[in-house]
Amino acid sequence: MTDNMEPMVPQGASEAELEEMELKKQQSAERRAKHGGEEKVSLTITSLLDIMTIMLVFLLVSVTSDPLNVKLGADMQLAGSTADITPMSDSIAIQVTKGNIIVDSKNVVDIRCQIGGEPCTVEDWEKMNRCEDARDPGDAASGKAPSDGRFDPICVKEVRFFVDKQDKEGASKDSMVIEPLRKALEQLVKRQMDEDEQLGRKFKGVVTLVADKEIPYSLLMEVLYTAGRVGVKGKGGLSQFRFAIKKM
Amino acid sequence: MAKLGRVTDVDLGDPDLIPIMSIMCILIPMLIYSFVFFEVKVQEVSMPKYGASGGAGGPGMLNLTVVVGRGGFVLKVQEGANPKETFEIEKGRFNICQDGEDLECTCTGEQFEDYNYPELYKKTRELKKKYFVDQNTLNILTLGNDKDVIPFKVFARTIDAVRAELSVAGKPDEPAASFDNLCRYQRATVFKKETDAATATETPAEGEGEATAVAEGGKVPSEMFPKVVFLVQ
Repeated sequence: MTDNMEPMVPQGASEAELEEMELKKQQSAERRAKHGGEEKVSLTITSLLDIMTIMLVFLLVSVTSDPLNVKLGADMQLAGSTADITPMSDSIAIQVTKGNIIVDSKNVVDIRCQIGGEPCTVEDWEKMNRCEDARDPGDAASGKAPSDGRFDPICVKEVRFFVDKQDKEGASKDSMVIEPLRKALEQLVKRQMDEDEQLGRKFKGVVTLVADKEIPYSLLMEVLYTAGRVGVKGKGGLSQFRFAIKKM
Repeated sequence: MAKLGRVTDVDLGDPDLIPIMSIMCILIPMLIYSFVFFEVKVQEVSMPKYGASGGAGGPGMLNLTVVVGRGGFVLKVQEGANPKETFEIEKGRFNICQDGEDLECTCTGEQFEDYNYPELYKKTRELKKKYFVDQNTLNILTLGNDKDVIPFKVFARTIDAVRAELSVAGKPDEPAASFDNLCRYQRATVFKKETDAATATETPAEGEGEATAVAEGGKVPSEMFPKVVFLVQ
């Protein structure tokens, strides 16, 4: 006879036997209470797991379907545009953030940032990013006018982003070629050309420039010029350029 | 000799889903963190031209150049390297706008200075109809020390202003000639016109098939200057 089983009352049991059975019932109840109840409560999590599985599949598909895999942060904010062209999945992405140039997920060159001759900080970058945002929509009912981050003093200051001359061809400040970028692109292009050859595909030579919105014209042109110089003899090089933007 | 025994059904019980749930509870927040909540598109540009003053079209041909400076835009219509017409568009002062009903905006907030994109759009559209009906390439240039300070976001919006005709929000059937304030300009949508049979059956050039905007419902964007060439001097 276990604790969970009710003892069968035999027919014709005497009073003493009935008393003994009551006593045993009482003792088993006390033991149950002592051990904190041995009743098992099962939690049905099958439905919750169904939801989690669907969410997981959706997020995996969404994350892997973005060919450029842009991660926004203080050092990278895309410029807004109404362009409607979808990025190509097999383009070569060159990421130009406020702090460095990244090719194939590797930092190839550091970018210097100066405001009034002083080096920039991450807080400065965050303020710059807010220069176009309407942070306070105001309240039409009370007549409070909207105002936004564009009135931060940093928004009217001249900020310079540039590559150190040591990283340029011939260590010349006026050179348009960024040496470490050129070398990294040459390796990547060669690898991609070999892959395309093995797969029987034609190398398209498309570059997608994922640039932060504050990067100046001069630095963009240096990156494009450097990319334009990359090629493999007899096989072609980089010839089509696209700027990544955030669709407005 | 094999022992004969009673075959009993083994009750495996319910599977323990708690470890799987633990993995899910870690994986899903990580994926949500890396999820991108905006759409990334691309603007197509041509290979920059260096030291070229004639720009697109070559010497002797009409070309349109937008010079972006600290004070605003300068639109130059040139015949080769010879200037034909020049228009200056200075930066404007605009009010911050509150979102209103029916796509209207109330622009009465504090004033700020910004490039006059609505005026650039208006002027570009006029010049397109006057001189460049069959031409779709435009040059963008920055001079002197300006190229070290003017940021990419200005060029992205400049390309938007010259790329295609726009229509007022809520009125997609006609192109807008101009916009009276920055707010209405920012809410404008790309004007799309009916595509003709010849365009519809045209095969895109190799390598460009994926880069063209998708025609929706038989309509394509009414383009002004979809090809942009950056000049470096």
